[in-house]
Amino acid sequence: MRVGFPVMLPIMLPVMLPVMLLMMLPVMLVSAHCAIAATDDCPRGARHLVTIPGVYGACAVAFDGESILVCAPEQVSDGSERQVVRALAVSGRAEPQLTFLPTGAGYAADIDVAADGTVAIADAAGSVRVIARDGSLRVIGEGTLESPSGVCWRGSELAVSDRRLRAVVVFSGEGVEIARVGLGQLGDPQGLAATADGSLFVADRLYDRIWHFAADTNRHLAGVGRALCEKGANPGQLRSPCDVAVLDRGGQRCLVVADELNHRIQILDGDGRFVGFFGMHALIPRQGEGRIHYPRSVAIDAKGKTVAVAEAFEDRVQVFALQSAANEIDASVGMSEFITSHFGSEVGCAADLLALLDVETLGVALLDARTTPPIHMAIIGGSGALPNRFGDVSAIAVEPVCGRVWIADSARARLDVFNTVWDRAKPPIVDMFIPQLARSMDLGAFVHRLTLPSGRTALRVPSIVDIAFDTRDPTRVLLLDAANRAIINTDLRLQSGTVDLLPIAARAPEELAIASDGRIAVADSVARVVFMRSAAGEWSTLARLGDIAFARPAGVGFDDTGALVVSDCARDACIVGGATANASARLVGERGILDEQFFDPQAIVDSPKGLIVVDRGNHRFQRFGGGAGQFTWNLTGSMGRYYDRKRRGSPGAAPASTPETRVPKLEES
Amino acid sequence: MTVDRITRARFACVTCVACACVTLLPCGCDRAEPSKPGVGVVAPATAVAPSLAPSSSQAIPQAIPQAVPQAAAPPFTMTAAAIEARSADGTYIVRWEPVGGSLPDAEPFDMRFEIKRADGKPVARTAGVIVDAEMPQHGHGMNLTPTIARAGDGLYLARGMLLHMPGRWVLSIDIEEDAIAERTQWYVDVR
Repeated sequence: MRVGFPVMLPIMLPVMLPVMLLMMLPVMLVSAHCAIAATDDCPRGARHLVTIPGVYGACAVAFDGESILVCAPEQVSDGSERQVVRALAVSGRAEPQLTFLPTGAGYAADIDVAADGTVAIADAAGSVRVIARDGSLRVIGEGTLESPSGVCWRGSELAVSDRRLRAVVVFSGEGVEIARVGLGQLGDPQGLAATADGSLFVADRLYDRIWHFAADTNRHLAGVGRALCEKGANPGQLRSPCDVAVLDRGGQRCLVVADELNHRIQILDGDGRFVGFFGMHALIPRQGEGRIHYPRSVAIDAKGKTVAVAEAFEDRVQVFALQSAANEIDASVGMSEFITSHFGSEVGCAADLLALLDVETLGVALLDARTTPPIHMAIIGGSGALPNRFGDVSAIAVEPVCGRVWIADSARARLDVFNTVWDRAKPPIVDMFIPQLARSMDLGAFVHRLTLPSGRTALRVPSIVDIAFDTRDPTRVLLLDAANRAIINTDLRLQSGTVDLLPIAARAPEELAIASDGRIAVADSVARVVFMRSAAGEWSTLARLGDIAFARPAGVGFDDTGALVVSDCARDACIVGGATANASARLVGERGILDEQFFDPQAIVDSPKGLIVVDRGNHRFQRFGGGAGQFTWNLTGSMGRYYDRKRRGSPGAAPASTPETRVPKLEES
Repeated sequence: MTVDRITRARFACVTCVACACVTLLPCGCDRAEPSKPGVGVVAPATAVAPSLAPSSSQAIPQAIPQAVPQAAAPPFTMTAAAIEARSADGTYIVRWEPVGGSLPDAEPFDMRFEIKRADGKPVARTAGVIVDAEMPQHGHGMNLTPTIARAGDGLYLARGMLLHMPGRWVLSIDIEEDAIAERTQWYVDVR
């Protein structure tokens, strides 16, 4: 008997549907994992071609024909203003030839080259510098932009991401602002890329995603962006993406993303789905040849075949050839030299407690500062959104006497205070119950309790980049606010406060130190100066100590004699001297990986046994003491590995016959 | 193959493809809204000069998502067995007890708690409250997110707590008034 379709339908569907769903299950699972894109148009991997070393602070790259332009803001250590490097012969194995491009930028943060060869440079000091082929220079966005962090050409227009405005501003070719997108949506917009139809892809370092702002047929940008990807380490997930480049292949868009904290370059399709990746994590500093360490920028050449990756952490650029085959996982790593800590620039110390940020986990490690080596006791927090967790730790301090740990989180706009409960009379032990969250304060509400400084009608939500306590007044705390470029003096519960604006030349204040006589020093690496406030409240500006000019001052501190110590991440050294015009100064340290050598020194903090300098590029800290202003090295430390006697080859080290000390040694506290 | 069979086969294929499409539609991985709290308010594209005034353009995610209890629970009275502690800065006196009198082993449970201000003032109805538990030695918290309901002045009920493994837990109650959150916490040993 034949049965017609109208009769078959109700019978077939219940039978067929489960079977079909079962057949589709593998596809659904893969798709639901949000990762794998079913496209053969995007490359899936890349082969390492060449490494260009010695590009100080390489934070951005762009192709200009066969050569690569690199923003290298730490290249200024030789006293010149040359921050943009042109690297030639990048496609071969020959030693790249470096030349310089005069830009006049304060801090070259990003770069892009138009089809006609016009170069645009985002200057973090607050403008975009446009250099035509004939060498003529135009400045765009002054007075509109605050802290440009990314730039790209969008046809004849310029799109600029500004991390302080938290928006992307589009300028016409004449420099007139024509659109602003991403307001209220972007957290920390960094590198960006435009497609042929005018839409924009923006890397958001704070919210761990790529935003897509579509353009209509008239190239008008949507004000609302579409979020691609999410935070994580799995394929298709991002951690602190810093830059994105777009590759158009036959109508298929491929995104190439500098995935900073995953130490890789990810290739995604236009909808953010995973296609491939390249660049294994460099597990030890200076490891290269295709291994990547904190990639900051990525660029694709006009042919769509070559990719350049800038690694500011390593002061280098690596060049890769894109390929359709996925990279094989290379697990061959010298594990004998593996890294035990990843210190960020934030550090706090008072009396007996040292607090150091681990940038990979966003946990704050607590160590007993009285001992040599400092004993690791506990960890505060970790990555997360709930109380007791952090989104982006921007400052750490330890309150004198009571030992409370203050942690500012710029992602949550909170200031958290942790009690530390432990028996200081007993030897330090690991005890994860030591820190206890006491209170968490909302900086968005705090701003309305502040007394406005003269000339200001409103203040931004503070972005706290450093915290300091004046031991002469234990009821007050000083907050260095990068958003308002000011120091906020407030009580310990943030009920009220006053705002002391930094000098007008301030651009990106990073660290604050208070001397025992009440002087305050503020380091600003973009303005390349240290601002000094006398005990009477008057500001002055230091561009040098003695005859040593600051290149990129990143940290400040005062030693026990009141002399100023400035860590300079471009010089890879500390500058020590009196903060007066006639005082002499000296350089301590040099570039390297041994003791009394630095690679990107950052914050400075006072401890019971000397000043601690975070040696970020070497994943460690070093301590300098000696008393009477000697500022002499006495410890190199990372988690579980300490040296209190200099290793062979270090500046001023003992002769080769002297055995090295590597085993941690405890002293009487 | 007869015509009917071909037609039936075509029908089956079309049905299969259609079902597959319908099934796959919700499986896309785009997240139009970010998962971080407080993000998503978007201003249209404009050409305005930057302003120093704090506005929605500088809106920053809040630390305590959905902290103000919206749901209501039937009123109750705390028993004498409730465990009391002061908040870290001494602003609040908090008592808690598991519903039913004892903590179950690796089973979801509800807990009652009462918050009083040490200065005698009432706790604001708009106060944010978060109940959480974590194991600092293991670096993790609960696998469930409890829901909190208000049962009267200073009285709350947290549903869906789960201390899923033995060991020492830190049970915490965060209370936020006037943009300052303060924590009260206890150690809970699960055996």
